[in-house]
Amino acid sequence: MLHSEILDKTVDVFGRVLGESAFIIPELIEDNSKPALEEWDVNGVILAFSGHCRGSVSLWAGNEFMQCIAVNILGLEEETPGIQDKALDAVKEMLNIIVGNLLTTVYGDEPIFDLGIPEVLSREQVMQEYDSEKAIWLEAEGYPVLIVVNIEPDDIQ
Amino acid sequence: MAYTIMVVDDSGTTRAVLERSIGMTKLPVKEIIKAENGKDALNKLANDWVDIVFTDLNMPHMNGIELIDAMNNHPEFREIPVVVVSTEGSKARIEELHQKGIKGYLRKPFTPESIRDIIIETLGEWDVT
Repeated sequence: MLHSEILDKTVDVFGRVLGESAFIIPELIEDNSKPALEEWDVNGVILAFSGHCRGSVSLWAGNEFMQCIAVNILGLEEETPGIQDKALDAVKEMLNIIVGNLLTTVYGDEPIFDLGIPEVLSREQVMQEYDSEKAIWLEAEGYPVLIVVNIEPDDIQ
Repeated sequence: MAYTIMVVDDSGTTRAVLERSIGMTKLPVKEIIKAENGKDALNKLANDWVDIVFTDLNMPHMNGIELIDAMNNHPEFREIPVVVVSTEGSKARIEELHQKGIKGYLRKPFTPESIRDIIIETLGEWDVT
């Protein structure tokens, strides 16, 4: 499968999961519409998987988007104490759902995969992914979101 | 009478969403007991009567499969119906879970309707108003 096809399926799955879970509809944005890296106050989470093949999916977004996810999924107010931690947990769980559904969408329901536990990425790591050819840039609720899909082995072109 | 339901997931978000979804089913619920992993669930099962367990698979310390195995090896817990709630989509993995005796499988993202259906299917339409 071409990596571009996997990226297309990622966009579909992300849109479906975000829509069904948080009532948010994301849209693809052009590369030249992505935020300036030095001005982007961004957080990242990553989920690795193994089994039929190995890889990871990382998701980068600002605090505002993450809080928006928590507010919509959990029915919280934006002023809820501790919303920052709840927002990070909500995005981790969102990524877990996205990766589980993406693997079935790409490979079908025969292969077995083992998903890891979502982990927080450091601010510095976004610099490695910001210009990646595997990056998908979207906008949701007016906020930029970056998704990067890495799948091994390299039988994917 | 009303159901006592246990929700086992390491994600506070999923525990909260399951609690909200169960509330939206309008089924008679006495209590929702929340646990963060299989080990936490076993400790709480030892102290509280539970009618049905909803568990995730992928959790630290003790995962969902280990929890199901531990419950199957316990003289009292083995009678408690277990429903797995997971992102897992592999037919082989889900079949393995059914062979371990789970009563249902819900794939994330789930809906309140699917929660309601599986509770009624598993426990019967008991006191449903």
